[in-house]
Amino acid sequence: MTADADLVRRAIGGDRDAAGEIYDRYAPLVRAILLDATGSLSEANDLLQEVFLRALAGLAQLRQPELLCGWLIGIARRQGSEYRRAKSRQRHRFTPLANDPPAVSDGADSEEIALVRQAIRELPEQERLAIHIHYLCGERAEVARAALKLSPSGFYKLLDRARERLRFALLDLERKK
Amino acid sequence: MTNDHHENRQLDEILDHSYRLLREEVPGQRDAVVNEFVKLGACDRRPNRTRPLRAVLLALTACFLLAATLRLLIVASSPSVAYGLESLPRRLLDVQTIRVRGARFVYDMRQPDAAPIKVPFEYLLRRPNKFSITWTGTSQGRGPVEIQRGSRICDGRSVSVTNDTKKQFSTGPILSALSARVETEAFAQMFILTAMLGPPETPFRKIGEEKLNGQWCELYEGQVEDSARITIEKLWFDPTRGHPVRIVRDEVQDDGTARRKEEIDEIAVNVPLADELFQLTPPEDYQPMPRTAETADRKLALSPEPRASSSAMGTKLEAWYSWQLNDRAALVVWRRSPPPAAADDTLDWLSNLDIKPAEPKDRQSARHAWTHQSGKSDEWNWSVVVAAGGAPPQRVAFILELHDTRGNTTSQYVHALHFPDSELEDILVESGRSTLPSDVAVLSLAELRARADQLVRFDDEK
Repeated sequence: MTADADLVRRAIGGDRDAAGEIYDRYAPLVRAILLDATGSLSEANDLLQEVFLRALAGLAQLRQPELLCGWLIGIARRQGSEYRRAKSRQRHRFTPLANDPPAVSDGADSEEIALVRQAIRELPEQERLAIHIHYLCGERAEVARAALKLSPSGFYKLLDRARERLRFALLDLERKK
Repeated sequence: MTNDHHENRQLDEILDHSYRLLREEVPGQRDAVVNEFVKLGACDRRPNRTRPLRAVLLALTACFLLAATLRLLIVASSPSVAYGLESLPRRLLDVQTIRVRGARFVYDMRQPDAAPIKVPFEYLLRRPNKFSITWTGTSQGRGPVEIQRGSRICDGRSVSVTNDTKKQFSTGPILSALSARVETEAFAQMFILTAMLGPPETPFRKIGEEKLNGQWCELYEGQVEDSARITIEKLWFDPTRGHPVRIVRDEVQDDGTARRKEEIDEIAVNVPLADELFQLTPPEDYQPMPRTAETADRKLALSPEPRASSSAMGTKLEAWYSWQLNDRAALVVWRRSPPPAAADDTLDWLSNLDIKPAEPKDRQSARHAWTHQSGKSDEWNWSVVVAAGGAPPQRVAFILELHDTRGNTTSQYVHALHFPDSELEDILVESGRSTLPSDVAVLSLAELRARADQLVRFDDEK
């Protein structure tokens, strides 16, 4: 697997494939962060394009190319905050999570996914990010080091905490349902 | 804990399922992003020049951060007790299967510079009642080192033993279903745990992190000293799997150099282990072993024979099974050679005997209460023993030391086996049948626990 720093250098040099690889590597994670911010998968997908265009256009500003992932996460968070501010100015409510088009054909499944997403959104930010990284990224320990500034063991401890909290949150949501 | 494992897997499945949608690409979006990127042109991607004042400020900040990081590193690298390993004994109670593979290194004492002989070993366990273990025996007289190898296999109904060197085997029915169950747990909770973590007195400290087969592992080091040598154990602990994945043991020689004693390079839990692995089909050229006279009483579910025995200069100390009553107490079944008589001819069966927790923890001591004192060297005593003070130990285990008047000591390591309460009640009844006179009532689990609690409180009140 090519290191992030190499991809950044190649992309700065105009390498189209490198830009594509950066997108492939981090689009799911960025999508998850935007989904946390917007509560809507369709909104998250719209913003995703914005995030990557901003990031790729500003790659040269990135002083530590190996921290690409953390940098992308920062841009995604800012994009999410802007979205929320804009929405609150419009005095519109966020699109409720459950209004997303059903992910799968089975009704019980989509209900379960909605519950899980709600539980994930209620996690503290670092723990939420640890869960996203674990389920969406390939080189988890490396990504955690760049994005969360955590050693592998620190990351797995944070992940354990997050999973434990999720388990209780899901049980709680299940009871309230 | 089995439930925990099940819940973990269930949570994993739910999360994995809910994340599936986030991995799905919106058609055309990737191409749109990449095309836009290409349109940006090279000039937009040029690095910015940093202004001189900003550069100085950044450099100062970097120096400050570097100093802070170095300080943190110095603090973090100081020796500390391992945290990740502490719950391993508890976690291993709940796995369904365990497979451990490695090799022992045998050295020829007459040719100390010759390369060692690498002897592979394998331990397999499938709860509730199946296990298979390879054994190795070495001896050396005037000739070259002799190695004997074999295996002991339990399929839940029978036990088979082989001596592969002599091409011999024996198979016989196990005493009872309970006996197979208890033997399997003894193998899991004592043998395999000791293979992983060494004896309980091994203090581990984290010395770093290392990638092993693509997975970040915490690296621990422990040192244990017996009367002969110091052994240094290095252990790679995979925090995602919650167990070690590689262990090496080196023995320190008289000249200060270390030589490899053992390597475990595969530890897997909850992997499928087929029935056939626990059944012996002896090769055609194997002969039945000469049978020894059978001593076990087939009316009993558990054999009353000692599990471990040691003696020195006329003193003898024997231990039977020990059962864990709670996180710091055990029922210990033991017997000893007669104590010296006091001036009034009475016998104190605890005289010259030390009982201490196996883990050397600060402020921790063992406390003892009789539940049955046999008053005979060939009959079993029942004692409740607690490790009082400090945090509960990782392993409820004790060391019994018997001293004679000439300064000789004989000792026994007693590891209390953990069972769920529903099984432990039955085990206590069967233990009573095997090791107590018929007129002695067996205390219930609740009564034994009440005694253990009294001992702990007594210690606290002191």
